[in-house]
Amino acid sequence: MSAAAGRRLAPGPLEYGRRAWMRLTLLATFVFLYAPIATLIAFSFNDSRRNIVWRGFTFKYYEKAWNNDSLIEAFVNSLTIAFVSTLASTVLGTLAAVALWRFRFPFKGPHEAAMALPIVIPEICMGVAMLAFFARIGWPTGLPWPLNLGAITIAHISFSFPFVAVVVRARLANFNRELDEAARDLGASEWQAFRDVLVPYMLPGLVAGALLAFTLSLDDFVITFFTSGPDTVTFPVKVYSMVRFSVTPEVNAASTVLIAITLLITGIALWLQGRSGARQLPGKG
Amino acid sequence: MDTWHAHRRAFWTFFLPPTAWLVLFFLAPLALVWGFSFGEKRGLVEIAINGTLENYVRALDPLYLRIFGKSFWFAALTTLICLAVGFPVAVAITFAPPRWKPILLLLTILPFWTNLLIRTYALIAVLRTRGYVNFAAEWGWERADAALAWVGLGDLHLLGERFEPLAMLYNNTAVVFGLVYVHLPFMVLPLYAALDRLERSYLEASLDLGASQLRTFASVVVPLALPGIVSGVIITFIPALGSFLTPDLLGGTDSQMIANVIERQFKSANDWPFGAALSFLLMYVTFFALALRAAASRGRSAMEAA
Amino acid sequence: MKEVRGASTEPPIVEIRGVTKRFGAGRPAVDSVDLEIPRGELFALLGPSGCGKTTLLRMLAGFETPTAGEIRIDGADVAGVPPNRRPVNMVFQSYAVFPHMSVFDNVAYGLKVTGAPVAERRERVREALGLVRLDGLEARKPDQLSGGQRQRVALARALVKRPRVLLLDEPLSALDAKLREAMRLELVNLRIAVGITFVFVTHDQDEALSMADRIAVMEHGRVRQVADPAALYEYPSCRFVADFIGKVNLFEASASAGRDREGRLVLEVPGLGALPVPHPEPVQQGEIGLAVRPEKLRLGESRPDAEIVFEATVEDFAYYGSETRLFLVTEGGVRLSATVPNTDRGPVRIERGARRFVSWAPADTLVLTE
Repeated sequence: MSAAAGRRLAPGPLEYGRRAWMRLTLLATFVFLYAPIATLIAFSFNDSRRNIVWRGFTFKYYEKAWNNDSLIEAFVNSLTIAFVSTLASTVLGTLAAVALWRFRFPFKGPHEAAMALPIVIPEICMGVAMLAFFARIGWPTGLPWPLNLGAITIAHISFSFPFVAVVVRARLANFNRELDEAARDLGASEWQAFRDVLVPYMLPGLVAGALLAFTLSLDDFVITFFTSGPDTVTFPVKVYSMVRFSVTPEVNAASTVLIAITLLITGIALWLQGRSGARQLPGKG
Repeated sequence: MDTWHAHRRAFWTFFLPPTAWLVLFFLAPLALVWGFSFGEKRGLVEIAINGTLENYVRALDPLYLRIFGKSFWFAALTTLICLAVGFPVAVAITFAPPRWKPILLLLTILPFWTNLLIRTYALIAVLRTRGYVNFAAEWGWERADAALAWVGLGDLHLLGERFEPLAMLYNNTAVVFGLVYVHLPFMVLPLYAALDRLERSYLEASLDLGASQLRTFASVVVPLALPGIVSGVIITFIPALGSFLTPDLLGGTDSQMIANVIERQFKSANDWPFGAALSFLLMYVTFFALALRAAASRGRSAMEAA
Repeated sequence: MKEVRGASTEPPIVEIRGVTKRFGAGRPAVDSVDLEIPRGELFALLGPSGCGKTTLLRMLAGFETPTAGEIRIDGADVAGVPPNRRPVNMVFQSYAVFPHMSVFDNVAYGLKVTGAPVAERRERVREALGLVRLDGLEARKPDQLSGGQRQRVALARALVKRPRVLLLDEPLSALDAKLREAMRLELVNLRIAVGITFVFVTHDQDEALSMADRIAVMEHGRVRQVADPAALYEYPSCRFVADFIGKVNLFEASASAGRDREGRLVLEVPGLGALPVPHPEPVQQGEIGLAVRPEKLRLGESRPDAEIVFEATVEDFAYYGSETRLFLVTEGGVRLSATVPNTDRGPVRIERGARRFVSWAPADTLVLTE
């Protein structure tokens, strides 16, 4: 393909990626997307209350955020909810993925559509639905921690597990059914074949789905906003109330921590997906 | 694929838990709100579902129609800007050297994964009157003013008495800017997917037959990428239309969108039936848009089958 | 002789009686098949794609349930026996080597799930890997193996269970041409070494002819003929088998002119005239086909002294290295194809438009009544 790699030739007719104005568009777009976040992160380390002049590097706003009890409480709440929600979503999502992948059953089309609803409907609609639902059934409030987080956790599971189902099902689509048959042929029971062959095969999808569920839960603001009460504040909800109030380096610091966590988890998920993608075995259909 | 009744036990083991959860903790709440939208408020918390259409009628009030109109306008403008910006970006990524592609894609997706609230907050930090953009502008103004003073024009105050910060927040422009900022990746990804699928030989054939680059773009690339364009437009339009956080944080009193009105009905105004009706109007629009998208992708598979 | 083995008093290892399999409405995938496979045979199910051969194999393995009929393996009816309880094992088309297990774990899997003791497992896996010449690769993962090695793992994994019958689904189709050739011999030798009955499915006639003791040719879910390779090639029972296996010149006889003095059948073929064929069995009038293999045709530049001889023009020819195929048309307008071995080195001495005399022996003509 790339003949004359050493010389710089004029871009070929289809090498749009090598045209200057194309590169400029890309650069401008990425600056647009990243500059605000980058500035936010940078100024979380700025030793100045006024926040806009660089006065030297400091960790003091991280320390301040760390000593802000209500912020830390919100953070712990968020992590707790994310853990429980991830666990439940992964199990439910995987079951749903296998059910849809493996079985033919009546009304499968509508079932699949209903399963996709939490992914596609506007967040505000789901938020108010959850608010109305928990109020209507008289969900108890004022329970001791962590039970008071129940409503938020349930809402998070509801919008997370369909995402897990999508990820796991995508992985299953490439499964060579002969592997399952081979296990059965060699004497494994249905359950043994599931445990020894299908689960290990799904594992990368499972982990990627779990990580996705975790970041979805950790990041959600709108739906949580409608299901949280005064004593069940999550990190995004706390940040929201702080942001409404003022822009402070503490919020910058707290946001930076959240971004770092999300990026780390996303990185792991992408790495796992890339690795499992590269290990496709030759098989039929 | 197995039929469900051939393996009843396995089927119910896999099928029942997620389905039960979905029905109980998703469909039931939605159904409840749907019911509320045909209800009437009786007292502080009591709602009687009596099949009234009054809430929907009230949504036709010019006040709310204006907000609906504005929401549509914001979402449409956002989609249009995203399309104009996103298309060249998608083309550039599609035709980038192979080893750059994953990196560029990752850079496009990454903002997706960053908290929406934090991204919006970052915009506030950058755009507010005491924000970084204004700070940079002020710095420039001071230098310019000093330069004018130095050449002896200082007394004329050509640049004004004092630096006037640019009011970039809490107005409609800020909302659209914020919506574009948040939704651009939604547009780029489906466009990229469509362009990446496109056979290079079609473009080469067009160029070979004598069409110019522009002509090739107009009569080969766009028609073939059309399903991707439709998909991108809808995927961008739906969440933009239902946006809550962006208008809430970046908008002024005049830039409220539907979601903000819904929120007010459920929180401060405490008129759940009306909020429910508004919320379901938003859902109907969503369903309609999704149906359009499904029809477009069906058209595509029909075209490919032919 | 193969006939002797089939006539032995031992009951067949596989008996298939009136087996039909329907998937929904329409023509059944397998249509009232009767087959007996004697112990120790290398048996091939051969046919074009969609002929039902794989479905039949999967019914033996237990992955499909017959709609009607009976399957007996080693004398026992296996209806309702799930695949994990059948005394047969399968080598899958994709090999289905578990990607997350080492070679050892793959081969040991079937022993592990049935609870064989660890020491026995180790011993039997070692033995099975030795059989397929994979010793020393126990710790490898499947993605570190070549296609041929993966196939050996699949073989060892099935053989380690000591099945009564080994089923192989298109065992060679995923290999490249050179390796395929070598594996044919190896499979045959392996079968002799382990003494287990092998049943394999293939769409490749060369594969079936070169490996199998006996072949069942299938079409549209039915078995058209069961015979050993040479009988199948030289004495096909019907037009389908004659055409599917090897190349053939097929003619339709318009009428039978009766028998000549030597008692041979004389058939009238449009464009070729009356042809004598040795065929002692009585034939029904009409719908009689005649076939002759291209390599049975003799070509000469002068008229040979033969009973069946035609003058023909070379329309076209194709050079295949070991042989040259000629496409000729007789004066009566009948097209014939002939294969000439290239026994001499040198340029092909043939050209389009050349005249040749084509002849064949009456005994090389096949009579096809189906």
